[in-house]
Amino acid sequence: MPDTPPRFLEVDRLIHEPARLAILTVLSSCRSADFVFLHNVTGLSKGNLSVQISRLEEAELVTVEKVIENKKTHTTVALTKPGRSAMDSYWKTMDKIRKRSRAELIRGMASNEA
Amino acid sequence: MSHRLQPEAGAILEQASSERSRIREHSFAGCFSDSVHDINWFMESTERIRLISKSYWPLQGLRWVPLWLFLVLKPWSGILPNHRPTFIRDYLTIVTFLFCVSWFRLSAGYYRRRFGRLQSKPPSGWMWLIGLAFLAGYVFCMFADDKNPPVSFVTLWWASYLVIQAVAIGGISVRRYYYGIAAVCVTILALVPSTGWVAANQLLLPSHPSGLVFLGLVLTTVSLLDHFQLVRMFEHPLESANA
Repeated sequence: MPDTPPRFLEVDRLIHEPARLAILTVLSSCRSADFVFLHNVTGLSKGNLSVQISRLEEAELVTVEKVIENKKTHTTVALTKPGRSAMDSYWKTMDKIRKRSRAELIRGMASNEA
Repeated sequence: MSHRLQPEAGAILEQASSERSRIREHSFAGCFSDSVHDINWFMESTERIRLISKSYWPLQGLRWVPLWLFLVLKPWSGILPNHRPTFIRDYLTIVTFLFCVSWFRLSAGYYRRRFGRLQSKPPSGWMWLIGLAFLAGYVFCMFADDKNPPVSFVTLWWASYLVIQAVAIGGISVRRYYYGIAAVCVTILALVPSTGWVAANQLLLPSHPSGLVFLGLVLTTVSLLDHFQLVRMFEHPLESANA
């Protein structure tokens, strides 16, 4: 893909997807959250949320614990250590991209006015 | 004829070329503006989610409502008829306390069922130290009030509690402006002893109900507004914002 600016290739695509990013953001600001909380806070459908959690679990970014409580399965999701460091580096990259894009936008507008 | 048309065609071509380059430049800037907008939207959405996760527990205002209502109702136990057996008041206090504890547990269950469970990160050692120092400050304020100063230091402590609550939990991004208004109201209450109407150490005692009732009402209102804030924060999920 020669047309794609190289800076966007720096982003971790697994985390960058909005649904997965939302899940990881919740988990990075707490110890663990259950399925109901993740469903409410992200607004994702239960099916979509389940799929995204499975993908993150496959990538070993989160751990999933299932417990039977009152004859119902209670799912708790927590961020792993690699997941936490992946999130840190993701936000660092995003901050860099934002700063670069803003600078380029200002430069483009200035050249337009000139 | 062709000689006459040539400069006109050249001018048209030149105009079209400059128009094309202007459009290209605009779309180039537009591309960057879109990417900046996308990144900003992305960051705002994730910031909102992070704030809900961080302030989920402190915003569960319904938990504290009976405790603050207890402050409002406590002074009125003194107006019970004089011929009552004295233990009634003690029983009432115990029943109210038990009611507060069960309400706390019931409301926790309500939040768990409605919004789900979240296990917060444990507070750091520094946070524990600051909390303990703040509590020790309350005792210090009580001793200070005994010297009849023109302002009630215990009431000022409550005002600072409201300010710290507002700033510590999510900062100004959670937009709990009502905490600022509540802190101003409580600060005004702290200035009441300067009028000579009531002594500083009597302002928040059940024997002088107005101070305690005012503080209880302010804290009840703030807790209820916290609850509504939490409900409002959950009303803007990511998928609907994305659609």
